[in-house]
Amino acid sequence: MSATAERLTVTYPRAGVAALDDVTVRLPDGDALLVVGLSGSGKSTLLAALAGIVGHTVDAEVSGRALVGAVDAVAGGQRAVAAVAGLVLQDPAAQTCLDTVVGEIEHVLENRAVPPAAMPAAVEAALTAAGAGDLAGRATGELSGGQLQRVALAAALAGRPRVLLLDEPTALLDPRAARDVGALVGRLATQGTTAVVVEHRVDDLRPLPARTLVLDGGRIVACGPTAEVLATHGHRLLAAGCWVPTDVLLDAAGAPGRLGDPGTDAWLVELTARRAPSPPPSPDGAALVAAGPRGGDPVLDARRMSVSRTRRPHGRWSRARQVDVVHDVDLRVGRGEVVGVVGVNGCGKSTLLRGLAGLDRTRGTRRTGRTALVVQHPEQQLLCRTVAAEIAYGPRRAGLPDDEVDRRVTAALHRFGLHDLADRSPYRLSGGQQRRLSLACAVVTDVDLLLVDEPTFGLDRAGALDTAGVLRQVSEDGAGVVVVSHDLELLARCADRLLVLRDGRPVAHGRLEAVLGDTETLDAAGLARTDLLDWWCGRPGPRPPLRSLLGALDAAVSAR
Amino acid sequence: MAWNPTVKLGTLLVASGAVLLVTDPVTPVVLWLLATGAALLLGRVPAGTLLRAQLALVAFAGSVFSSNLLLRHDGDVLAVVGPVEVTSGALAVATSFAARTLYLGTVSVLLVVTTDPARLMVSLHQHARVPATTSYAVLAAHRVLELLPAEWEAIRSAQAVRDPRRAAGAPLPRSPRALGTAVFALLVAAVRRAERTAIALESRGLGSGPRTTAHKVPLRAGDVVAAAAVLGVVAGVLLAGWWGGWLSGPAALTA
Amino acid sequence: MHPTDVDRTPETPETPEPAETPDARRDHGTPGDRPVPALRARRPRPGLHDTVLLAVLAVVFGFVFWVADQVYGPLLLALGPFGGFADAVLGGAWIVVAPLALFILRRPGAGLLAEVLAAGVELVVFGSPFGPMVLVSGLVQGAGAELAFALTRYRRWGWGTFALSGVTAAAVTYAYQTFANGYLGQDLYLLRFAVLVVSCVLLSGLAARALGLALLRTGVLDNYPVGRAR
Repeated sequence: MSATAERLTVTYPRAGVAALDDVTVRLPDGDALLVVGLSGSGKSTLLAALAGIVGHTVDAEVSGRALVGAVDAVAGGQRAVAAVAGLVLQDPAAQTCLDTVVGEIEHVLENRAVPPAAMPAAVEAALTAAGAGDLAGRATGELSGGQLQRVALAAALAGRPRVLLLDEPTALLDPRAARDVGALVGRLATQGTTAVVVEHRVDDLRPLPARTLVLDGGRIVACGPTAEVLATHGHRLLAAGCWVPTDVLLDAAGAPGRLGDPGTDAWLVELTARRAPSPPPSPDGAALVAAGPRGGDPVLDARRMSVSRTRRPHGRWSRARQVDVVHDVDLRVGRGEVVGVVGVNGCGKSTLLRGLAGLDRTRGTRRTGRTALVVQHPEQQLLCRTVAAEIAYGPRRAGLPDDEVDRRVTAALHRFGLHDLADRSPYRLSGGQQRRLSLACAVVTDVDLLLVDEPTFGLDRAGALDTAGVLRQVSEDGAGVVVVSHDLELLARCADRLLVLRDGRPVAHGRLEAVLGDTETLDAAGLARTDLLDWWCGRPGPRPPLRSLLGALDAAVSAR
Repeated sequence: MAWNPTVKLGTLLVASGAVLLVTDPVTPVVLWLLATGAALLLGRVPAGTLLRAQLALVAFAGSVFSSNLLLRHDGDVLAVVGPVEVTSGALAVATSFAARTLYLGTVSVLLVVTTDPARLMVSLHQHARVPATTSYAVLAAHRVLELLPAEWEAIRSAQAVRDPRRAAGAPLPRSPRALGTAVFALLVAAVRRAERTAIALESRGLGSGPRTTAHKVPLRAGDVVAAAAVLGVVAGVLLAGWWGGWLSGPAALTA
Repeated sequence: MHPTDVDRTPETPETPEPAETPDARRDHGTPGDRPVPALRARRPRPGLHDTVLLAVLAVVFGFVFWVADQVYGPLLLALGPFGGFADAVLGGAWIVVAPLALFILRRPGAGLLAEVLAAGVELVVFGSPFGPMVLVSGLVQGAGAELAFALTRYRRWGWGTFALSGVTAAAVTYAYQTFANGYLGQDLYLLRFAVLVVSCVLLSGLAARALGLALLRTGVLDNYPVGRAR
């Protein structure tokens, strides 16, 4: 056995219940295990226990045994496990510790006392195995998240581990990079590397590891061959908010076969027709935002707008210079409209939002109503000591009377499921809760235009669908929304129009369904459709309306 | 400059410490000129960089000069400016301290421009017995530092747009409260990252036994000779002052 | 390529890391002030975890120091001949990282090490008008701030100790500056000291504890000694 958990129980300090409760799993040499479950299911804790992190670096009470090779991780901790296992974590930037890619790999070899003469070959082998051979000679500071994650994988492989431990390696990557890294991990895991992979974006791992373990509330729900487990528990995973492969999703929705089968095609068309889409009703019937009435002037009117950013061409503290990053954007957004902005990393999407929010300098015409911006990392926007104070900040600054502020804060706390956390420090919230908080803060003041940057980054499926619903509702309530996202399916659920950016210039702009169908433009802009969107675009004859199709699927899944 | 960074740091530290108790004007001025020459010729510091650094230092030195000139009373009165008498003793000490500032600042510039932090840390581990954990912790922190300016800018603007009364295009707020919240958010992000980085470093086997070094920083006889030469020159300057009679120590301050 | 490396069992980490011990010894230098056995027993080996945090704090405050250096220049000019007082007014800000590191790690030597590392970052990465002597200043300031905690045997972490830490930091630092910055024999020698004490108590000792408590609330310190002690 190369990785074993025996009656493993982990309890974090000040937590009422065990994060991992009497878990026993055995993984033979050469096998790969996929661990899935909703956030809070204990899947990351299982990995952290095998890596020797909990009970050592991170405080927790641990009982039972976690064996990796011959090393007991519970007793020996991270240092002992490091000799036999390689570890890859979520955050690409935090786990590259040195200035250069080669230095990063050499560091691992140095720690294992590999003779310097043997290092160049070992470095090359590790980088090649992680699909990062082309990155040798680069500085880590200039790499993208996906590239950094490959380097981290190479560093894990360089130590020639008996077991590879991977904790959501694709969670913080954009879909394209996630698919690439997922394919790499899938390949490694099915080619004889012993691996434990924790993932919530199971749809990105291709092929999937041979065995799957499903955790819920710290206990084992199922463990066995992946196809079997997904077939029996797919709907449960979906209900818990996990991302699953498209076929599992369809199966859970009640489809007769796989995507592309004629029967499934007909079923999908029929399903869409059967379930007429209805906008998600707000629980108390109250509007989410207090915006103006529909129609009238657009809430955003940008013509031939360019956005420039401050750059320091010669090092960190050299003289600042204004450089145009986004050029000649024409964008009008009316009340009730959601516009999606897409493009690869570095195409200027976020800068466009910063320009629209009045943060970066713009040229050309730019007229906006009252604007709120939600940035990609919620923690960067935090200002206050408690969640309630955080939501109250905007209305208070806007000069609203106290009782009105209180009313809005209470309503927002309920609408975004934060009422139990009102007195918590906003920094103590989970990633998903922080995202909801940042949306709550943005819409609690009166806004005409909501700008949102990557709102589903790192969220599970339930969180992403919820976000799409909120954005849709904000627009139904009369505001305009511009949302930057990598997630084409999210946009298909909520956007009316798409703007495609490439190298800072708009290359396509139009109705969502038309732009998504334009394969050439998407390819040129470096975007890839998901299986479902591919199927939809490739369908001959009249297609069902996309948003209705996805809405009907989601409804069918949750109805079962 | 291929001078071993540990030896360089140690040598320059001693060379800087040597002026700590010097209060006459001649010695630090001579050392400042020597340091400037060394930076240009031996350190290959670009003249423009050095000039800009010296200009920044002049402001600092000017302040040191004026405060010492006006807050000291010793020797003949040379001039009377309003209520303040300028004395000969004060002038000497003020000049000495101003020149010392220029000397130390120049040495600092020499060090910053000619030292690669990564090489320094490797060398400190090799030659000064700094443990591998500490030197790699510092190198990892250095990577955090590279990201700090961008992170700072992102936090500042992300927080600024939370204000519904903010006008589009307005500069970022500079109130102590605004800056304080931004520093705090930066600190939280840094501490979070520190924990993840520590886990990553440990998972790569740092500190778990004997280790090798991929690129050793050489320590040659030449490094020691260079150190001896630098210290010899500094000692020579001090000795010259002693023999010539112009060197003075802290006794001059209370005379 | 390296067949033997993978199965190497790591050294059992029983010996304390050499980095921490010399500093710890130095702080216990005062007569009758022996190392605290309780503290040692609870934390047998200061881990990489703590060291990385120290280094990151050093870097963040190196950055903050550097920003302070930028503020320093204009303030000096504004104060004219009394520019030296800027030293005293801002003096505490330079020393905040030492008590903060002690607040979080509660370990002898943490303050000293953090302050020296921060000074090193300031020197090697940004450059400092004080030259390499900034390392010595860091050592002196760190030792000064840590003195108060050594006097209370690293057992008391209340506001009082942190205020005292400001006073000891100011005293030790001023003793050094008397020679290093040549304050000896200047007018207003004692007034300058008084300003420095106030600055250190406010901007170093008390500010560090306030900052530490705020950080504690966010949960990022849960896995460090201060979080465990709660």
